[in-house]
Amino acid sequence: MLLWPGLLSAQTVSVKLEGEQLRVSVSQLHFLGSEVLQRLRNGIAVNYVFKVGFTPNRYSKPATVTSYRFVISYDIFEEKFAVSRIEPNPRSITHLSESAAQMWCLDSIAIPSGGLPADQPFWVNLEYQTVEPKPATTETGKSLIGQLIDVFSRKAQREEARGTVMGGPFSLTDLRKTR
Amino acid sequence: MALYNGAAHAYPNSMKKTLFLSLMLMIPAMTIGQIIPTISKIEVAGFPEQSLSVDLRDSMQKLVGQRYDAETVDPILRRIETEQPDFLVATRTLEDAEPGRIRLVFVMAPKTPGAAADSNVNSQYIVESAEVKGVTPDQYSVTLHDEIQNMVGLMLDQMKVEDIRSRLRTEPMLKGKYSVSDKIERGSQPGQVKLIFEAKKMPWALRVTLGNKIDINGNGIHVGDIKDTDIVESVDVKGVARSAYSSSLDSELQLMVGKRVDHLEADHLKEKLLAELKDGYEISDKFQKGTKPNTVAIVYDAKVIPWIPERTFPEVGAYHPKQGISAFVDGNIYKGLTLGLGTDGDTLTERYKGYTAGYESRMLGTRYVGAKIRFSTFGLLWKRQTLELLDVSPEIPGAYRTRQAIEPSLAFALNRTISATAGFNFVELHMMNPQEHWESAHEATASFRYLSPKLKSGSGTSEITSGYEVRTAAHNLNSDFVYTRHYWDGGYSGKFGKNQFKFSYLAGRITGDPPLFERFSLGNTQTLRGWNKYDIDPIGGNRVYHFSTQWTYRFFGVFADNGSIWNSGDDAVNRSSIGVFLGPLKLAVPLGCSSNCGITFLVHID
Repeated sequence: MLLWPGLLSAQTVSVKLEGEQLRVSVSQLHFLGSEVLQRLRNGIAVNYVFKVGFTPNRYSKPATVTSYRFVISYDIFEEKFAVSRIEPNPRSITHLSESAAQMWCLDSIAIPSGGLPADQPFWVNLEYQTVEPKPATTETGKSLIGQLIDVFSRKAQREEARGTVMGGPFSLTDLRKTR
Repeated sequence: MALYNGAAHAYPNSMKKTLFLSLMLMIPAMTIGQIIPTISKIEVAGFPEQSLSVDLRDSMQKLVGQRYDAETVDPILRRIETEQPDFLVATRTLEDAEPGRIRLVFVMAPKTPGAAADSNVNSQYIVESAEVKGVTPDQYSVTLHDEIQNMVGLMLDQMKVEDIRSRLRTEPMLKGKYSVSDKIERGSQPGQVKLIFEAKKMPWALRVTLGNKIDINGNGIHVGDIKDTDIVESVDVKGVARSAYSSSLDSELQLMVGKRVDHLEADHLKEKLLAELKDGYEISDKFQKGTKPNTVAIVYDAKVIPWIPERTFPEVGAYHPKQGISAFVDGNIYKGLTLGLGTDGDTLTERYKGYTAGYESRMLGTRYVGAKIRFSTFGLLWKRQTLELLDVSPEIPGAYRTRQAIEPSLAFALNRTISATAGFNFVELHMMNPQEHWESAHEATASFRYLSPKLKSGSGTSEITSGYEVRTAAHNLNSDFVYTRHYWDGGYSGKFGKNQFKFSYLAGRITGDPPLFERFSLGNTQTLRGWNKYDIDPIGGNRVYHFSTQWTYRFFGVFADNGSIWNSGDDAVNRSSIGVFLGPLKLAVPLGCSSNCGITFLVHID
């Protein structure tokens, strides 16, 4: 559970239609875990990748995924967070609280609704992950070495912040009515 | 917005970079004034110097000792821009300790911030001091020590920090023994920071086991030499023709080239590739060092999944209180070479211990044909009940001390669900009675097997299997035993969320007089659970049927077994048992058992 902070609290995914853009929001999503916060407070920038995909049902995999990359850092003098969206359309913002920094990342995510059928229900799959801690390994190496590291190494040094949230079903027709 | 504490400023990164570089360009004029100083040292900030060409680095070093003027420096600056077109380059000068001498710094910043590691808000602060804690300076190179100290007085360069941290970890006296992390703290003056690298000795067990294979730093664990800051040099798909997957997917794969390694994206594209190669491929992705420093080559290796199923020796991991522990493993150890070893007192009426070795090809040039040859040699142990019953059953071939076999066979597949085999099984038995001697059981074998694809129904999946095998031994195969053994088995398995249902059946019929290893047996950790095969029929039978039903919720489940084993001409006695299990641990209750039986604790690893 420590590796999946996103699962610790009840999260509700909601989708809003703004023009032809879909905006995803997740209540109770605190993706800055304690380990990441410690790194940030040590002045280290942390890279996050968010991936958003739509699926026709809960169990299928998204055919297309849109990626968003953010760099979050913490100003050790101002004691405020700064976020840079580096992909797509680079933008930066500074002087944010912890919760505002997380919210800014989510608010930055807008996906064109063009590819979605108007009358078919769809599900939203949001995946996030810090980029640095991901080991470059094969599946086999991952499990064996991962287990050995779990046994031997200091846990505080290797927490990987990642999580997946899913919500649905939504339909464009309904979203158009409620906007 | 109430969430935003203080003033929030959103601005394009490109504006930030331009402003930053403009300020940098103004500094030399302010610091040097009218005196033309001599360049004492050349440095690069914002970019790993090693990634510049050797020729360019040489030219830069030739500036040392020359007078600083724009005409001399500009050509170098242009060459850097040409070599690194994604970066803006400016120069900055810092006063040296010696009057009239300066350190010349080429400051580089990416034009597209996506490639930057310096989106750290703390990059605006000046490094007041830099130190390495946890190790002494004599544990890493003087060059590295100097580079760390050269960061003092400059703005914090996140990329340089990452580069230094990475190189500290690979210093000969630290590699595999220390993890290195970095942090910054407030300096003594506003706007100044202390840069600290912390080296921590890894736990002993990790050092001796994985010290040379993994790379631990304060921000994560890397296996091998690939870092997330490395740039993708190439992406290749091996094992399939380019036409096997779409152009759009190929474009997506090639889009990773020139960018940082993104494992999430690489995983996603691997899944897309798998989805497009519908005809039964498995794909492994490899991240290899590129031809240039700090680059990585991604290779997707697509391999055809053979239609012919793997034919291993029966594997077992089990415990039965009246039959003991059984553990036998068999598998492919290297490019088709197979090896198996262990002891099994669960499957047959005999307990065999020994090993098997062989070679198996599941695709003999084509997915339609495969071949296998296996050699096995076993020593045998017999239960008292078996030997006593054999003494009074002269019509049953007796016990043996050793069983050795060579099994060559061919396999054929019609498609990925239907396969058949044909071959021989040359078995030599070292018989114990009436005096020790060798006898042969030479069989011709054939089998047919159906394995359905995973059938989706709603949110669940189902699989159906069915098989038939015949083995026949005859004098014209130079066999001392003459018999024919028919065996049918199959079942259904359905998984619906956390619920799993299984139904399995087996049936068998033997004509003639087979040796004991071919006779059927029920009452172990898989059939008629709770019954003891040595109480039911210590020498096995030549007729059998068995049905088993099982429901599992996560690790917990219940089962019911029903079956019978008998000899032709005798009456078949139907027996049943029920039980519960938690993972491999089972409690089984034989139903209608009158003596020497009761609730039985079993272990069986599926």
